[in-house]
Order: sequence, then C-alpha cells, then structure tokens
Amino acid sequence: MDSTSNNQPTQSVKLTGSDIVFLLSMVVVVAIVTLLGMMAYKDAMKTEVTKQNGEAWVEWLTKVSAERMKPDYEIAACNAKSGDAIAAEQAAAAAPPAAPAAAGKPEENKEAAAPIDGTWGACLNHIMNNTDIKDLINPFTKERPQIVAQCVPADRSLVGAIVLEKIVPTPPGSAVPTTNSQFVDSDSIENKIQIRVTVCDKGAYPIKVAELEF
Amino acid sequence: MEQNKSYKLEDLDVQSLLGNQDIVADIASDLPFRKWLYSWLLDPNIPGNYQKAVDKWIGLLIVANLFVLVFEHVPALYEPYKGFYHVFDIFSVIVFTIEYAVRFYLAPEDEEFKTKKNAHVSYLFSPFAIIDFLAIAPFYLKLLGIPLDLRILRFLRLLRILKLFRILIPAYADFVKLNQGRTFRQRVHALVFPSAFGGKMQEIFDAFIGVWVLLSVFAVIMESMASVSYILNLQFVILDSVAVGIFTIEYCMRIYSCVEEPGFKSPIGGRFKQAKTASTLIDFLAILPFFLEVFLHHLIDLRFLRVFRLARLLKLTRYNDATAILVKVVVREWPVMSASAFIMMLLVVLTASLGYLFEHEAQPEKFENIPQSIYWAVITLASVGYGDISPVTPMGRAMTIVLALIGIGIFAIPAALLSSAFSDQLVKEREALKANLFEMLKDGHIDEDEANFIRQEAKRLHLTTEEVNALIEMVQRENEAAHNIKELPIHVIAERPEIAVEHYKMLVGQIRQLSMLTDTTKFEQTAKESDSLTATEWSLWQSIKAKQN
Repeated sequence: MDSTSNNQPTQSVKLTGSDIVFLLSMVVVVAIVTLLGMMAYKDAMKTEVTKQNGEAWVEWLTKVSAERMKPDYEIAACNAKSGDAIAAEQAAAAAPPAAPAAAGKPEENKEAAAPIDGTWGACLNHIMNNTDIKDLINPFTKERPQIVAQCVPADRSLVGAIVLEKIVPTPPGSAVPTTNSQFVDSDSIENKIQIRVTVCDKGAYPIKVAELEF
Repeated sequence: MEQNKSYKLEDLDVQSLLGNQDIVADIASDLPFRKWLYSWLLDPNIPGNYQKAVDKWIGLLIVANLFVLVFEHVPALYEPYKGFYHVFDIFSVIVFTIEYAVRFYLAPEDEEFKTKKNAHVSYLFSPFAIIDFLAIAPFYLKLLGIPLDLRILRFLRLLRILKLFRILIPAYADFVKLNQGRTFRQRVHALVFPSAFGGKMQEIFDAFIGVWVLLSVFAVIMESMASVSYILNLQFVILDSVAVGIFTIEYCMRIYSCVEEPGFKSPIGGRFKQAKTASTLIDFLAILPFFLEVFLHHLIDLRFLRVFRLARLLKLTRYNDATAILVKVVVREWPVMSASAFIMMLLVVLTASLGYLFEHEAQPEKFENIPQSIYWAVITLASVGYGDISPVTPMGRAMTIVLALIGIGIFAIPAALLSSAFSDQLVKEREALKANLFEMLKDGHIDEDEANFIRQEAKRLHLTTEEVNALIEMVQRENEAAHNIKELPIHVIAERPEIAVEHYKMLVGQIRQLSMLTDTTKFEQTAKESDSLTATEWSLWQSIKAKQN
C-alpha cells in the first residue's frame, strides 16, 4: 500500500448485485437460525417445566415423608400407621402379585376395588386427586402428566411423563447395591421407602430428578 | 500502515525482524515520571513496553466479567458462590478504577489529548473514558447507598463489555485503512481468510471463532454430565444456538468470499471446490447436527448426532499449521502406509483365524467365531492386552508369543513412518526457507515484504529466534563465500584446496537447490530427450536428487 492512500478520505463500499444477494441470504440464514434457536429454546423450556413437575412431586413426597409416619397423620391413604396397611400386606401376600403396568404405558387402576389405605395405590390416588400435584400440566401434551413405568425413547406418547420407582436394596454380595423396580398399587407404605423420581424429556429420554425417602 | 523498512544485512536484528515480544523497550530512566510511566504502560509506539500486555489482560478481565454476568443469571451457579462473585466484582472494579485513574493521570502524555487545552478534561469527556466510567460507576453508586434495581445494576455492569471497543476500534480503523478502495467481497475475504489485508481485525475474528469453538465443545462435554446438564440444560441450548448461528455466518462468509483466494476464482466451481476442502467440510459438520436434529427429530432419534458437535474442535486445526504438515506427510507417505496397513490387516486376519482354530474348542464362548477372534487379535498385536480373552491351549499360547513379537514390529511401522516423514518434511521446509533466504539476501538487505515472509515462515515452522538467526548467519556465510569464490577464476580456485572445497560445496548446493526448485520430471525428460547429459553427469544428478528426497 502506498503512503498517499493513507491520506485519502475513507471511501464508502459500493455493493454489487452479488454482494446484495449475499447480504440478503445472510439475513435469511440468520433469521432461520434464530427461528430454529427459538424452537430449540421452546422445547428446552418444556423440558424445564417437565423437570419442575418432577420437582413438585419430589417436594410433596419429601414434605409428607416425616409427617406420614405419625399415627395421627390426617391423610389416611398415605399414613404409614394406617390400620389397613397390615391387612393390605396380608392380602398382597395371599393374592398373586399384581401385574405391573406395561413398560412405557400409563399406569391405570386395573383393580376394580378401591386401593386400601396405607398402600401405594391409595396414596397415589390421593396425591393425583387431592393435592396440588393434580394441577400439574404436561407442557408437551397440555394434559395431566402421566405416571408411567419407564421412559421409552421409541414411544413419543411418553414425552413429559413422570416415572416413580422404588429403590430396592439387592442381597449382600450383588454387583450393584440397589435396583429400581416399579410400584404396584398393593405395595405397603408402612415403612420408609426410597423413591426415585424421573421425568421423560422431549425425546422420551429419562431425566433423573431426585432420589428421596418417603 | 507500517512504514516500509529495509533491514541491512550487516546490522540485521532477527528479534525485531521476527517482531518478537521479548524486545527490551528503549525508555530512558531519566524521563519525567509521568512521561516515563506513560511510555511503559500506554504508549502504543514503543516496542517492548507493557502496553500490549495491559490491553491483553484488561481484555481478558472484561471477557471474564461477561461470563460472570451470564453465570449470575443461573441460580444454581450463583447462589452457592455468591461470595466469590462479590470478590470478583470488587477485584474487577479495583483494576478498572486503577486503569481509569492511570489513564486520567497520563492523559497529557497521550497523542490524542496532549494538544487540547485541558488534557484531563478532554480525556474525561472522550468516548472511551465515558465507557470506562460507566463500567465502574454502578459499583460506587451502590456503595454510596443509592438504591438501584438489580436488573439496572446488571445492565450497567454489562456496559463493561464496551471497554473492548478500546481494542476493537483501532483494529477496525486499521482494517478499513488496509482495505481502502477494495470491494465488499474482498473485505469479507480479508476478515475471514489470512491475507495481507486482514490486520489485527482478522486476528480478532479468528480469536472470536476460537473462543466459541472452545466454549461450545466445553458445553458438549459438560452436557454429558447428568448433574450439570440437569441444572444448565436451558443455558446449553441457548449457547449451542448462538454458536451455530456464529458458525453458520462464518461458513457463509467463507463460501461467499473464497473466490478471492488463488485457485478458487470461478464463482460456482471455486465455491464448490472450497466447500470440498477439509477445513470447510469440518465447518459444515460443526453446524450440521443442529439443523438435522431440529428438522428431523420428530421422525428419527438423532440424539447420537450431538456427540458430533465435538467435531467443532477440528475447526481449530485451521489455525495450526502443524496439522497441514501432518496431512501433507500422510498423503505423501500414503503408498507405504497403505502397504503397512495391508500387512497389518493380513496379520490380524491370520492371527484371528489361528486363534479360532486353536482355541475354539477349549473356549467356545470366547473364541466363538473368527470376527470375535479379531478383537483378541488386534488387542494382542497392538500390545494392549486387556486380558479379557486369552489363549489357554499350548498351541494357542505358542502362537500368541510369536504373533505378539511380530505385532510389536508391524504395528510400530506406521508410527515410525509418520514420525520420520514428519521430521523429514520439517527439514525439507526449513531447507526451502534456507533457499529462499539465500535468494533474499543476495541483494544485501531484507525489505518489509521479505521480512513478513520470514516472520510467517518462522511461525509456521515453529522456528525460534535463535534458529532463524543461525539460518540467516549460515546463508550469509554461504552467500559471502559464493560471492568471493565467484569472483575468482577457476584455476585460482583449483590451486587453493580450502577454496576448492568451498567451491565444490557451493556447486553441489546449487545442484541441490536446482533439484528442489525445478520440476525434476520435466528436467529429466528434457535431459533424456536432448541427450545432453553424460552418464557421469546423470548419475551425479540422480545421486544428489536422491539424497535430497
């Protein structure tokens, strides 16, 4: 560059036709990326709401955890010391074990009779119908979040669903100290139980929310 | 634009030629204190002072402030470390306040303000000083008890980013000056491709892309940690979208302006050729997973594509010449390497088959079939030896001993080939640089263009100042010897053995250079066709050429 050019006034850039086409295509590209980014953000927000649903479960179960062990706990369905719990346990021992909900499908109340107080089924019914949990909304379907046995990525109907599993200790000497199994309605909640709360994200992949003692 | 300089051969200063940072600033200690301090800290025209270091560290602190401001919006990252954020804020404000005060104090020494009536006041109302003030004002307002909404406070702190303009504006001005009279596309080209017109702005652009590459790759790695991903999922999504936006714009800019590159001139063919280059393909792969996932996630599960975002790290290879040398070496040695790979494959299949033959009956669950045995064969031949599958029969063990020993040699061949070819390539490129230096130093001085070339080559070949110095000295000596010898008649040279040896070396050196610079195929073809070389001359040429290769 010669020294005289340093003294020249700054020239404005003249745009050719191809420059304008390039700039317009850049605007389009930026708009598309922004739009896609917004879509990704909205999906991520839905996943956040799903996680919040799971956290609401965790909060409720944790809050009730200590209270429900007291004999005078007002919600009989979830009361550990409910008189019906023992009967439920005996009934569960006598009857063949209730079939767990099919993997990936919503747990439906398959038993004709109402669950007995002090069992998981009764407590779940109470939670789903009489607590703040009943107002939760699955952001993907705009309906109440389903309680499912597990998240299955192949099944898109499970997006935004909630998985509640009990953590069961394995026998001494096992490779893993605990294993997760799904609840059945007749499970007694007489004693403290370890629960794992998981939610299914937009691809129906599991996201672990928390493990707690109920 | 830097003034055109000419470096005389006799007083050649390699340090300044290479633009190295370890030049000692020439600042007199008996200067008035203010002038002395300005010279050391802020004067951009004194090489070797601390001005660049001050700018760099202040720039880094500004970027760190930006990150901290982003992290503050994430409760999971903010709440447990509130104290740290507060300490960092105080530290930043102290540094920025000192900077502001020093600049205020030194304003009368600054070229921009020294001619004004009141340099201090002029400084206070200059745009940069206002930005500097805004960067620290919120902290003091809060300290004085003036109630400020947290959002306003954070917004005001965001203004600290404007301090980066102190680096950006001069770089932009330089860029505009360098590109005066050039078209829009040429300017885009100057920004994204290394050229003489890019200046500091191109470096900043590269650094900006580099930072985003590292950020996005770091985010991908952190995303794989469930506990981190649970808390920061939303932030990762935003970061990825922004990164893809930046990389997409960069990709479009490269495709658009590549026609300014030599060899890519055709509007369509040139762009297609550019799109097919390894670095541009990497750029494309860096953004592809995002678009595929957004468009197709309803149809197929494309979560696995996320891991390919790590390919963005390959974008950094553009800024590292060693990768280009390595690719060149692999391409050059490909025939030998493919032969070695063929032998390896043969050995693996043979080993696996023999392993299956000897061990299948003894361990049917481990050596179930030949494909399963291939895993054992590779692990054994590569000397990894996990031990999960091992032979138990005497024949199997005997075979393993032999094959493991062969494997050491066979598997080491490609590594040895690559390593020796890599070092050969470096030697060759240094020889080429030496040949170029020889040419440059013929006229007794190095002009600015030649100095630029030496700088670039020294950087590309990772040569230290001492190495360049030694190379220049060697070329100087050879040049001088050649000069002196050339002036002597041949019979005088022949009479003095020491000069004759030097003369002989020079002639051989010239043949060596000739073999490097000329198209040897055409040379040999012409020599054969015209039958102009004797058998001795031909064999001498072949011998020197073979050594060269």
